Amino acid sequence: MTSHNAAPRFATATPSPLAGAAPVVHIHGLSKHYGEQTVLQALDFTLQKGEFVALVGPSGTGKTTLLRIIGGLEQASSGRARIAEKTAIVFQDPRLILAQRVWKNVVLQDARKPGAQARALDALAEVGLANKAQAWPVSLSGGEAQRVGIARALYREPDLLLLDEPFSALDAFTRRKVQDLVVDLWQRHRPGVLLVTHDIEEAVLLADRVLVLGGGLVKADVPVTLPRKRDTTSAEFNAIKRRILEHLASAH
Amino acid sequence: MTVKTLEYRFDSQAPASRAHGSSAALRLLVPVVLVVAWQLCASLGWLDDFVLPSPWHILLAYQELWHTGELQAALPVSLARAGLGLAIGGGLGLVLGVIAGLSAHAERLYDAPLQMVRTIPFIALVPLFVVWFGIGELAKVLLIVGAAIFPVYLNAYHGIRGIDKKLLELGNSFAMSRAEQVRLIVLPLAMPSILVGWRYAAGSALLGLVAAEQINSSAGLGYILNNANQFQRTDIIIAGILIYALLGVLVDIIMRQLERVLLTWRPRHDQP
Amino acid sequence: MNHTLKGLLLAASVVLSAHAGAADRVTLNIAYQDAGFPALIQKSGVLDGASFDVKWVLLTGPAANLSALYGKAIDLGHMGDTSLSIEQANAREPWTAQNAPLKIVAGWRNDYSASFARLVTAVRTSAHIDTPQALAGHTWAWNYGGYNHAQYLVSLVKAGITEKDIKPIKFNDGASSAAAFVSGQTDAYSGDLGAILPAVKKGDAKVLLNDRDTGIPALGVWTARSDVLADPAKNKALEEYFSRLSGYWAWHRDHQAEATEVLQTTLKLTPERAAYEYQVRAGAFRPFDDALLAQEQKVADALYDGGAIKRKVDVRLGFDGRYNAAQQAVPAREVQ
Repeated sequence: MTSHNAAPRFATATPSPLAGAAPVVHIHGLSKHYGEQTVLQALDFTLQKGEFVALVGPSGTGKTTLLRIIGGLEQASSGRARIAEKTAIVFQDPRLILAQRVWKNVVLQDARKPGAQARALDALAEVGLANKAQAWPVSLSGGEAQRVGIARALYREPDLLLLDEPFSALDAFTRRKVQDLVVDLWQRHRPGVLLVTHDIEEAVLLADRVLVLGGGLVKADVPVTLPRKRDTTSAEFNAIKRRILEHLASAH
Repeated sequence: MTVKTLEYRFDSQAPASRAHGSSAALRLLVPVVLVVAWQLCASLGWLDDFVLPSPWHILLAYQELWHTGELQAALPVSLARAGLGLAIGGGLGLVLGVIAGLSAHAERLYDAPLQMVRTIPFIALVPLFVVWFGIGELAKVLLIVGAAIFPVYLNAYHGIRGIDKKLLELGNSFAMSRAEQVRLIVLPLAMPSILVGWRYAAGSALLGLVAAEQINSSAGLGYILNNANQFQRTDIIIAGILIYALLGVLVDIIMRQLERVLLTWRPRHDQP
Repeated sequence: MNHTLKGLLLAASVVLSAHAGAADRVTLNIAYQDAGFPALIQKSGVLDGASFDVKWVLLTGPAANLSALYGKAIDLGHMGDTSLSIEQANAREPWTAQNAPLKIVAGWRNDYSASFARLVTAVRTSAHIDTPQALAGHTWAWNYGGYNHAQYLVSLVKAGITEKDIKPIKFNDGASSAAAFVSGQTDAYSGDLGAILPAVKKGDAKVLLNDRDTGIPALGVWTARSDVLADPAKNKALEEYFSRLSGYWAWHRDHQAEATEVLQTTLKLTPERAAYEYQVRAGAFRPFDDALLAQEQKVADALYDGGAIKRKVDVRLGFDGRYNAAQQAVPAREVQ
């Protein structure tokens, strides 16, 4: 979020500087119920600025719900949370407004602000789409459209970047390119990143930490200390993958 | 063993331009043949002039209407009436449709009554409109407003309801105000539907003239038609209908241009 | 300076008094069903110099005229002489001499003539119907309400048959009914002669019974709201209006070419139709005497007997002859 007048994220939200190192997400005892069903159960979770965390878990364990609560799209049932004010989301589908040119999809309501277009061009240049600024979204390929979604988040210079399975709709070749791009941008801008994914390999490839969610709780918090430009075929990589898969198997 | 093959040659230049020229000629072919056949049938005495006057007699009817100055007087008067009714009715339909499309409360409040009013045949309302709104311009323009409001209302409403809810969520998550969402997401995306609504409304407004100009008018297209009806001038009736057809084509051209300007983002039929 | 001021005051007082004078003038809102009559009256000049203003209101069909009367948009509505009988029969409260909301105050028509009848029952020559009795078994176009309807019902009586003996084809307006007959869709037709004139002239159709045979007065009438008649200023203006209009008929008779030309261009008529319209629009105002009222009562009773109206009516409640003297009303005569 880039603005104060966003829809209230929590009933108790008050702007104040984040304590400690620089947590961009700090959640304590967060629960979410849909009627009888409990999706999140007194969850605790902290994410520091500059940290890349992946959230994995069987479907229905509430990983997307947690991201949506952090992104302000849903309300929690109880608990406390402190979230960076400048938060931006990249969705699974690019969610471009077909009736607006690419650069206007990046700036949205800022279109009339001075300098907005130049900053949009910068953001588009960073995702390799500088030449598409004036194009209409229908003319973009799937990978290009998703990159515009990333540029839209980047334009807001977020302290917290939420990625809701942003690579899952892309073909394998494009997916690798966009994954590399995200890591590259993260290293340059150092926001806190929370990636929701169902792809274990993707989680290990991109994140510093992989959280395994199960039964509405954090079942495991697996650090990934492999150096970047990770080799998915290496023994260490696969050892971590196996550990996560074991946690997942017990998460049911 | 041999395989039968077909050979294709592709040349993007020559055949395309030729196809364009012949398609224009093709469009004109049927109307021209019809008019010639029509005139021939009439000249050979196969057609009773009362049943279907010949194209030549219809031309003479235009000449008569032109000579008395009625045709020149009718178009500005009728187009002003239809235009005013269309602007008010279409504008009202747009506002009501957009609000109903965005707010379930508004939709519950007035959609059902509007749907009921929509099915009323406006011709039948002429005597009532006289009682309610008198015999001046008000009653005439209101009849046209009534005819023009619903196409825009319905299409605007359905256009907005058809917008992907995820895009409105996007607006929320990127801290767009309600007004910004309407301006940047809702209206542009509902525009194709809204324009379809205006297209229908323009047609309804022109048809509404026939009903409206029954009320104390001494000029106008509807008046010419009503008067010709009263005195069995089939040639003038058909002449009037052809003017309507022409106005219909004109409306179509205008709307196409509007779509070209407002809907540049949409892939068009004539583009790959 | 003083002079300028005086001048200004004088000018202002002139404007004011002129304005006051205009406000005192009565405006009569008078409806007519086509633009022909207002154009002819203008041409004749009978209203030049009148002490009131006339605003012509063009309203097609009796329904629009009645609506405009009830809505107080007009002072005089134009219709046929049976329209009020139908209105009276349909009223929620039965009309009495005191509460009747509308009154016919003027009626006119041309003298009776076979060639220029207003109403006819006609048959297609190809159907070989030579007597009213022979109408049995044939298709017959007519339209609901008004004196056209009466012509149809009385023609049935004259033929000694009922609706069950024929194939009635009912329309809502006279123009559609005439169009069906002229184009050969029906064998018989009751209604306005003008609408089927080309077919009669060509010999495709012939008149079996006219309005003289059926005894239908077929007057064009002006109907006023009772409160307009009770308004002294309007009453006085109407008195003068009818007195001036009584002079119109002589002008019409003496200016055949001019009047025909006006009708032809205003109403977009064929020359043939214009000649006919000139004739049927001639004549005079007709007095609401016992003879006329008896005829009108017969028509109303025929409408009742034929099921066209639900209630028996007293036609006298719908006529007010107060302007007959001013109108110099004379009964219609038989002419060639």
